[in-house]
Amino acid sequence: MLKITNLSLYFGNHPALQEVGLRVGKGEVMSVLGPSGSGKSTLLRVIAGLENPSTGQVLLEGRDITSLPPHRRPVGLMFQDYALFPHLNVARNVAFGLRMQKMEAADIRRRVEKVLSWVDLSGLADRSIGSLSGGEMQRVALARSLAPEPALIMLDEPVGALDRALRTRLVADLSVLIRRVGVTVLYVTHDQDEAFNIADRVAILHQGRIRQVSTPDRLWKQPRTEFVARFLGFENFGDAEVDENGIATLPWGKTPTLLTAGRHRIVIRPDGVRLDPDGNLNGQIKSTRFVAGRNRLEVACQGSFLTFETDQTTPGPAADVRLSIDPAAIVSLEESYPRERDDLP
Amino acid sequence: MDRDSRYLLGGGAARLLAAIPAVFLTLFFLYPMVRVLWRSLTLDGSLHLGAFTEIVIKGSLRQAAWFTIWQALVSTLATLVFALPGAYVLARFRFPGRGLIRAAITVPFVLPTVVVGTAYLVLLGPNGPLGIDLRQTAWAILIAHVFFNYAVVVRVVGSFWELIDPKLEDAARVLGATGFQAFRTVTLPLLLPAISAAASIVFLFTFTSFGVVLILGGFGYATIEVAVWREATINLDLATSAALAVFQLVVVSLALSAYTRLQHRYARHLPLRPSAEVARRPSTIGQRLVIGGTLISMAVYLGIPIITLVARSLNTSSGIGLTHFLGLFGGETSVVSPSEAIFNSIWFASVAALPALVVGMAAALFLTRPSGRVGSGFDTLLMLPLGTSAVTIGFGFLVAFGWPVDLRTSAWLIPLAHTVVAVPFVIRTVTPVLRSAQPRLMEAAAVLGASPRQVFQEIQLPIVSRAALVGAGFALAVSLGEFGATAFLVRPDRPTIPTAIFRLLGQPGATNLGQAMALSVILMIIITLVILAVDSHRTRGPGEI
Repeated sequence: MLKITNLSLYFGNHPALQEVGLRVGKGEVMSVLGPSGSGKSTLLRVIAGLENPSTGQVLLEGRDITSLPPHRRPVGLMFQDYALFPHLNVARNVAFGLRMQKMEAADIRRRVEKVLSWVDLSGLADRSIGSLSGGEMQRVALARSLAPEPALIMLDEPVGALDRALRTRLVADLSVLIRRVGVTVLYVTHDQDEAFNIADRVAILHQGRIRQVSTPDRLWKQPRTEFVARFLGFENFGDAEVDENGIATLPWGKTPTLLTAGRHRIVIRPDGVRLDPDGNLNGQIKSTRFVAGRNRLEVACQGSFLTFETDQTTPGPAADVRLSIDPAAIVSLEESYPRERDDLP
Repeated sequence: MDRDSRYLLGGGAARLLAAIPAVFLTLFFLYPMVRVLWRSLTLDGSLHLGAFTEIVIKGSLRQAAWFTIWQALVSTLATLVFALPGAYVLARFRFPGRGLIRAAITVPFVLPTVVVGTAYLVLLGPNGPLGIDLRQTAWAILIAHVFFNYAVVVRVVGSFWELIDPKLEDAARVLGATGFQAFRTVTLPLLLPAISAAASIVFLFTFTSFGVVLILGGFGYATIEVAVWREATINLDLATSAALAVFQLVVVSLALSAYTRLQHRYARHLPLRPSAEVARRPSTIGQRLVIGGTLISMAVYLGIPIITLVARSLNTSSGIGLTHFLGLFGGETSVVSPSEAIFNSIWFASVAALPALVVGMAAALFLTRPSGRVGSGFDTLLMLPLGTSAVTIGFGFLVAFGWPVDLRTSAWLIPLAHTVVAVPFVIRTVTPVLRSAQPRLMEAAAVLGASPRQVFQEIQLPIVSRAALVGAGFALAVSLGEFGATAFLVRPDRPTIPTAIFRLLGQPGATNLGQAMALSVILMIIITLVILAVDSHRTRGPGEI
């Protein structure tokens, strides 16, 4: 559906996007996840035609649209600040794209009614933009970008301007709506929960480069680089020396793994460690915290800290404990990028 | 890289936009001002500072200078004291009728000085409802000045008050401050730039006050502005007049530059929040009392002069009637022909509004170019006429356009002067409307399939024409009520409504006063209608009146 190849964009000497490649399938919801300043919005603007890339191509349904002006591209873009037209009411905002297509007035009316009903705004068609609440403006902006039936719709932090409680609900609503409409979606956000909740696949963008594209599940289980793992909130990084039997020597002790023999840079997922009287690691609890229904423990093993989350009841600080690590939770990281310790989100 | 070039005016169009106001203002503002300066510094072609020493030596002029400064300071202070509670109530509380009250309080501000002068002449006269005669006292002038500028403080301070997060005060309360301490240590310092800005504007307006002082002060009190007019038209001493005008221009420029600097400063620092969340419903009895008390005193203070004027204009020797109004149109003889004045005013306003709109819109479009950087010199040139009093502009026209071609008797001179007076108002009302057309909106339209031509047609044009409508309305209103410049340039056989009112007031007899009131009411109605017609299309930035 959407195919981006080798896309780069420089603002002066500053690279906003570097050799970005991305494929999005028809009807797929792809989330572009990255810290602020990573180039997410720029990527959307290039696809929409609002920025010209320095190199690279944008193909939509097999057609090269790289040099088309924005109004000739069958894409929708919902701006983070909505950019609703202040001189038009709700219905006329939603109808704007349809009027640009020279659609018949009666068809426009029907389409506007239908799209407004999708976003539960049927009663507000005649309201002026200035009289809307933040949540209502967000839904008008969504309706406006859906109305012309674009092949691809791009949402730039669509719930970023709203408060937390409203956000969670709207993301759930949005997820249902876009799948019902069946549109292909590029969803930009800096919020990991949001991306994981809504997306079929997630593309991690950092400093203008795509770092990993995976399903949420795979991204969690197999982060490819240290940057991605840190961005997901993982903390247990270390160097591993693995022997032929798969036993690894880690900063925290020795434990079986699924890794091949040799040296690895690894991360241990926070859900892969448990308290186990028969475990092969010794440690002392340094702190316990109760987070979102689980205990979050910091345990010092051989002087190194191991952080993990468990449902088990735990002894208090200073208790000596034994731990075991799920071999599948020890993930080998690629060294394809330098260890990006300095450019964390 | 020019990122938005697809939707912008090209360099040539931008230069043309800048050229229109630059040429107009150089010809019809800078040139007359230079001639005034020249006139003040020379006698028969050689340098001569006698006119300036005259200001120091001559008692009446020295007195006028002192009175001008004194009354401007006191008026400014009094306006702040009276209007800050109003700003607080309108910014912080939600109650029924809030929007209406906000619109209503701006009415005094747009009223012509002559109308306000007439209203207070009646209200504070010996037969007024108050029963005390304050005519020809400083009190009358001060009271009228507060009436005039009330809206300035409420608007400028209030619009910023709305943007200050009330949680800041809550935070101070939680940290142990009393309500008053929280206000004094948190809100007041945040508001201070807005208060100083409002004070600068009020000082500017009252410093150059003309119509109100001329009508209410009689011969006892004169501002520099009035002295400029008297020296030129009564004593025929153009040199002294010019020196006074230059002196005033210097003071006013200082106040204006202070205002501009303050505007820049608070534009940067304030933590802005949308106002919808800030205003709360009153919850305690105390709050209700404060709101009620403020609104009632507001209504009394702003309403009574207008009500008195209207009531008195309908009050005839044989009960309530339209005698004064009917008298304006034939019937009784009078010193001026009011119907001709109405015709002239409307004609002048129509002629002045178009160039004011063209010049003002060109300047505003140039100033709001998305990627526009403006030289500060150009900015200052655009705003200078705002700080220059209308009397000085009228005087400048008188001095400048007598040679090489004597245009002083031309019928076009008055509308031209009105244009110069109106241009800064047009720029100030139009700019915020144009700012609402952000580049982001044009991008949104393009993504929705609008071609560059459609973007212009669907987004830019409606917003620009809305701005033009607002600008035209204000240009009309300014021209209709203009008195200072007109007072210099008007010929007895071509009166405008304000000059006709002034001449009627100068004649003895109840009939003349009655007709002056009737004419004031007519002017008030015309201007209020014009402003109401365009006000709903306005977009006000924070700090706008």
